[in-house]
Amino acid sequence: MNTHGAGVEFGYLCSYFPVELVLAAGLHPARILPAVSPSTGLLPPFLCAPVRSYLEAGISGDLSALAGVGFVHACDAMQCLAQVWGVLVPAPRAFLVPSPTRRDQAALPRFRAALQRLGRVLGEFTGHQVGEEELGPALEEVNGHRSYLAALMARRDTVPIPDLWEVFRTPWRPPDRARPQDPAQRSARSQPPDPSQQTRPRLVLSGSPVPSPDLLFMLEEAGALVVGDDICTMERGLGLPTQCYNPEKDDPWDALARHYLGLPPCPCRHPGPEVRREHLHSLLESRRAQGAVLLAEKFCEPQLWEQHRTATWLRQKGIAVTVLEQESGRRPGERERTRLQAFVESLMATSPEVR
Amino acid sequence: MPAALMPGPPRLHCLSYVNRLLARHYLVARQSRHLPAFARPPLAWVTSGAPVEILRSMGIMCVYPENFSALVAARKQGETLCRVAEDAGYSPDLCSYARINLGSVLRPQLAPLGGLPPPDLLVACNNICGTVLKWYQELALLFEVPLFVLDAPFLYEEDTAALDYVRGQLEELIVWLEKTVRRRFQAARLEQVVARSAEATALWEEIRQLGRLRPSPINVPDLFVTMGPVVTLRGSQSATRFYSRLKRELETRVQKGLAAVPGERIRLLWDNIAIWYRLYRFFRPFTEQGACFVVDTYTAGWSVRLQGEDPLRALAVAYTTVFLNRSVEYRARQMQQLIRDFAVRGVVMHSNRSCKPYSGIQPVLARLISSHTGAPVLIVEADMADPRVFTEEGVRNRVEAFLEALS
Repeated sequence: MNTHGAGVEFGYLCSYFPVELVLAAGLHPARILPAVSPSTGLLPPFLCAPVRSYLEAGISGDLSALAGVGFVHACDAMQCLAQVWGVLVPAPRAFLVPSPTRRDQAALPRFRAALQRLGRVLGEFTGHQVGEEELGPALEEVNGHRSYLAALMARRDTVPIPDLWEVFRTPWRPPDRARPQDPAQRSARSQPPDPSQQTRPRLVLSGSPVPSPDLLFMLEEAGALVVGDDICTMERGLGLPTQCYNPEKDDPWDALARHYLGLPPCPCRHPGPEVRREHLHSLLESRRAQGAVLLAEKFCEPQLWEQHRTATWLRQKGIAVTVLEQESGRRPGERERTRLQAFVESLMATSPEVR
Repeated sequence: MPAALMPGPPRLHCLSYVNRLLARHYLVARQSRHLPAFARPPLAWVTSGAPVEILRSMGIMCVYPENFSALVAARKQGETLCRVAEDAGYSPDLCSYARINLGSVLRPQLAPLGGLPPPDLLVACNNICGTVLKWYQELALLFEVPLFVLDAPFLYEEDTAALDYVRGQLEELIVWLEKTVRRRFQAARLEQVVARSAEATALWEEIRQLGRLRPSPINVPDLFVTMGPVVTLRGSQSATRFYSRLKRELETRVQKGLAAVPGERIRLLWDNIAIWYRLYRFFRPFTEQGACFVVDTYTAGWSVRLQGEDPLRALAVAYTTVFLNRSVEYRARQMQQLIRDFAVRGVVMHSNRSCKPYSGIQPVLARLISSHTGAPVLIVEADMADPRVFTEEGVRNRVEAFLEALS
C-alpha cells in the first residue's frame, strides 16, 4: 500500500512504538486505530474492545497491506494480543518492543538495548541498515514534525474536527504534501473569528482509547470546545513533547530511549498516577480548560484503576469533571450525548467566564 | 461399583493443618503490630511473584493480599468485600482479588481476622500481571507507604538481557530495603533463606509429581488448599516441615492404594486459578464420574527451581521465568508436556474474568492443545473470587456434556 506516496506503510498500535525506527528502516509509520465494533471470539469478551478489534482487523485481512505491525509491551490485554498475533495472523508480521514498565533511570539501559535490537530486526526485514547514521536523521525529521504537531495542538480549538481527526489518524503524513495548508491556518483564513468561541466551555479529555471522533462532535454540538486530550489515539499518540536531540553531541539511541521513557506516562507505566495527574492538570492549565471528561472504556483496567482518584483530585483543584463509561464495541449514542450535554450545561451555568 | 458410590479416601490431615498454619501466620503478623517499636519487625505487603527471600532474609514479615483474598473468597465473603470496594468507587471490572483486598482495607471489620495488618512498605513484581502494578500504586496512596516495583519483562521469546535487568533491580531492591527499613542486608542470610525456599519448592514439585501415579493420590482441589505455605511461607522452616508432612501422608496413600478419586477412570488437567468460592463443590460432578484432576498449571507456578551459586541470579531467573510471564507457545508446550507426562485425557480451562494474562490467550491455547494432543478442552467462564460471575446452570450443563463426551 502506498496511498500517501510516502513509502510502504508499517502499522503500529501504541504511542510508545518508536516511529523513528520505522522511518530509519525506510518505511512509513501508520497508526492503527481501533474499530468501533469488534466481533472476534478468539479473545475473551472481558478483554477491551480496542484490543479485540485489532485482532479482528488482523484476521480479516484489513491490515494485510501493511509491511508489519508494531507492538509495545503495555497492558495485559495488549500482552495477550501480541502473543496470539503470531499464531492467528499470518500477515502482517508482528514486531515487538519489550518496553520496560518502569520509566526511571534503571530502565534506560534495558530500553536502549531493546530499541537497538528492534532496529536490527527492522533493518534485516527491509534491507535498510538501521544504525546511528540512519537513526539520527530520522530523529531530526520526527522532531521537526512533532514541533509542527505541538503548535497545531496548542491551537486545536480552531481546527475543524474532521481535519483534527485526520491528523490523529495519519499523524506522520508530512504537512507539506498531504496537507497543502496548515489546517489551523486554513480554518482561520476561511472563517472570521467566532466570538462565541470565547465563551464556550473548554474541555480536556483523558482516558481510554477512542476509535472515532464521535465524542468530539458530540461535545461540539453540546456547545463545548475540546482544547486538549491525554488519549493515546489522539494527542497523546503524537508523542509530544518534542524530544531534545542534539546531533552534535547526543547518542541517538540514548536520545530515543530517553524520549519514550520521558513521555507523560500511560497508566501501564511506573511511576505513574501522580505524574499523570500533574500532566493532566498542567494540560488543563495551559489550554485554559474549565473541565475534564474522563473516558472509561469497559475492561480497560489501567484506566479504570485511576479514574475515580483522578476525578476526585481534579475536583479538589476546582476542575469540573465527568466520568463517561464507554461500553465495549458500541458507538457513543444518546446516553453519552445526554450526559455530555448536561455536563456542558452545568459548566455554562456555573463558570463565570463561560456563558 | 460406580465411582459416585465408592467411599472416598479419608480427608487429608494436612488440609486441617494448613488452615491452622496460615491462620497462625496472619495472627502473628497482626499481633506483631502491637509490639514495642524496637521489637516490631517491618511488615511488607508483597505480590505472589515477589522475591520474598530477600525480604525474609532481612527479617521483614511478609503478607500476601492475593492469598488473603483467596482465603476470603473460599470463606464466601468475597462478594461482601467486593461491594465495599465498588461502593467506594472502584470499578466492578477490576480484579476481584484487588477489590476484596481494598474492601478489607476500607471495612476491616467485615474481613476475616479483621483484615490484614497495615503495611510499612509494599513490594510488587509484575511477573504475574499488570494489575498488581495499579493495585499496589493504589495501596501506596491509601497507606502512604513506600512502594518498590520490580519490573520483570514479559518473555515473548528467550531474552537473557531481561534476566540481567531483573538482577540489577534486585540489587536496587536490597539498597532500597536497607534504606526503608533501616536493616542491613546479609548475603549469608539470603543464601540460607534461598536454600530453604529451594527445599520447599522442590518438595512441592515432588508432591505435584505424585499425580502421575495411577490412581492419583491427590486431586487438584487438594493442591489448591495446600499451596498456601509455598506462597506465603516460602523461605521459612514451617513451609519445609509442612510439605515434608504432606508428602509423607500422600506416600502412605500410595502404599495403601488409596485414590483421591475412587474408581479413577478419567484423568484431567486444570488450567487457571481455582474458583475459590466453589473449591470442592465445583469438582463434585467430576469426582462422581470418576474424573480426577491429576495436574494443573496454577500450582506449578510455585515449583520454581532456585539454582546456581549466585542467589540473586537464581532469584532473577526464577521470578522472571514463571509461566505467567511466558509466551503462548511456551504455555502450549508446557501443557502438552503435562498431558503426556500425566496421561491426561481432557483439559478444563477456567476462563477467569479477573486474570487477563491467564485467561486472555486461552481460546488460542485450547486450539493449540487440541490440535497437538487430541485432548478435548472445556472452557468454563467464571471468576476466581467474585461469585456473582458464576452461573451454576450454565456451568453444570457444559461440564456434564464434557464428561459425557469423555465417557
